Amino acid sequence: MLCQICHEREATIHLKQTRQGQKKEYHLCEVCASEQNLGQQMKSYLNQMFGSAPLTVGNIFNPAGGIPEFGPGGGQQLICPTCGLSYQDFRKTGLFGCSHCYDAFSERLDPVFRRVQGNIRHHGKKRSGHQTETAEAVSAVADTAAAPLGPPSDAVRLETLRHKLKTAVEQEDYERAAGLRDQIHSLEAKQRQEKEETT
Amino acid sequence: MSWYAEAGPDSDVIISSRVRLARNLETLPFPHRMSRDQAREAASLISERFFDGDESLKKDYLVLELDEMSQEDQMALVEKRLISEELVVAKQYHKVMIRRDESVSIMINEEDHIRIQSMRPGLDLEAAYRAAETAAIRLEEQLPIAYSDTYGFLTACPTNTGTGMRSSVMAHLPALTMSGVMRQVAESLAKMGFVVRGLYGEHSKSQGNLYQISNQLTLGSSETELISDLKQMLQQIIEQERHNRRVLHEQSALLLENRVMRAYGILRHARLMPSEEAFALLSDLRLGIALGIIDQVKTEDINRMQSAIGPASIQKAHGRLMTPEERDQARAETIRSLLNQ
Repeated sequence: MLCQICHEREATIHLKQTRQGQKKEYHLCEVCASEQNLGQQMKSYLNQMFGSAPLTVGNIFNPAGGIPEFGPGGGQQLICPTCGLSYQDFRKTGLFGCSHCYDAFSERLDPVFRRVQGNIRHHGKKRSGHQTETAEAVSAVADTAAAPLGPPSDAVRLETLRHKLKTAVEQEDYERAAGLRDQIHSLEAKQRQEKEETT
Repeated sequence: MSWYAEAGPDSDVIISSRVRLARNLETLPFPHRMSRDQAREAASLISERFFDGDESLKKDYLVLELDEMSQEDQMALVEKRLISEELVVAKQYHKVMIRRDESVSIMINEEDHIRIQSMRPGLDLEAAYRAAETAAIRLEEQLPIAYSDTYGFLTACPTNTGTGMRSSVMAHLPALTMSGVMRQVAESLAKMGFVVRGLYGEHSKSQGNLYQISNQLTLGSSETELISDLKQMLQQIIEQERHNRRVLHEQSALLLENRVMRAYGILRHARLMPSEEAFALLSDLRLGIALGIIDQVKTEDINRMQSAIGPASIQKAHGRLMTPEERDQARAETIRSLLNQ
């Protein structure tokens, strides 16, 4: 059976839903199901049935658990364990409840920051008087943050490249630095082009 | 001596530069989610640790508990731009530590636990940043400040995350305003991530051709980069404003001189002076000084007048609540005495 939406790929997700007395059946491929936010819907459906959240159905559709960020119902389950603020309340008020909300909501924050700030990683001064993680760790964070999404986004790649360039320059490895600089330039050019196309 | 009593670089166009840094405690919820006890804890912890073991620092700062001040006294601080209106509204153990030269103020329990603000005369964002940063380093060393390697300094609102820094200037742009291009300028600046606002911040309309221009982004660039971006853009605004002023002066010298000298005459002799009129006339005077039309008054004098004529400042100076008409009279007196010195 072909997917109801794209009529191209094999439907592998079969879902029956009853809403306001009306029964609906969905036969979708993984790609379209993920786009339709069914992952989240099915997850809460299963949660209702089993009364807990042992299955991460969302993760089957999208390894990053990436429900389309601003889709309906998105983020219902995320709650900050420290202050009790839900992701939904954060979306409503636009304010975090405490500094630990950043950890609790981390999987949803990249698109938020991309929209608000046009960037997703800190590049400024580090906190004074505290032991901070090493530069390698920062780079690793950027790498792992991108990993579950498959290929990292251009913004993350740029960020990582810039960091590597800085390290290369600091180590006076100019040959490597030149290579990295070229990669950065071509990525930046690509981003500019994409930006022009969208505007 | 207050910062505004000096003239700074490019002070013909840029009146003052301001840098604000947001910091938070990782041990407490952000102010909008704090209980009264938590707010009290934050307020005492921050000021105690800031001064901890440094007697000379203690002498440099004035500590004000807003709960113990009248609404007028609080608003007078807003008019002098030493605190934000949000801090007044906060109401829960809101507090400010102000350096005696008024160059740095540290607000406690505003939208974030700590908001450090530094002001310098003219276009001098670097100096403003250095002063704010000095206070920030002290606080970071003394307190559990919320920070992550990924997101930088963690703030209540995602629009401040990262550097927690907002850099801005107060610009006097009469020629750009008169030529009717301000709207266009504001729109094109918005596309580059800068925001143009009226005198008293968000949503307020421009008074006396004064505009607040700020950098909106806080994540992804370093403090130095953000400041230099703003500065580069401002250099262009300054050049455009100066060019427009020259053209205006060349094309209609008599009209412009008449306008400036009339403003001077009215300000020196009027017996009633509403706030809006005062701002408009002071703007004319400021323009006259910059173009060399008038030399009896200095830019610093205008700055001093401007910070003394807001409704709350007038009432504070007279130590009582006043009707609008009484205020207009007192405002006229204040300006006359400053101009006839």
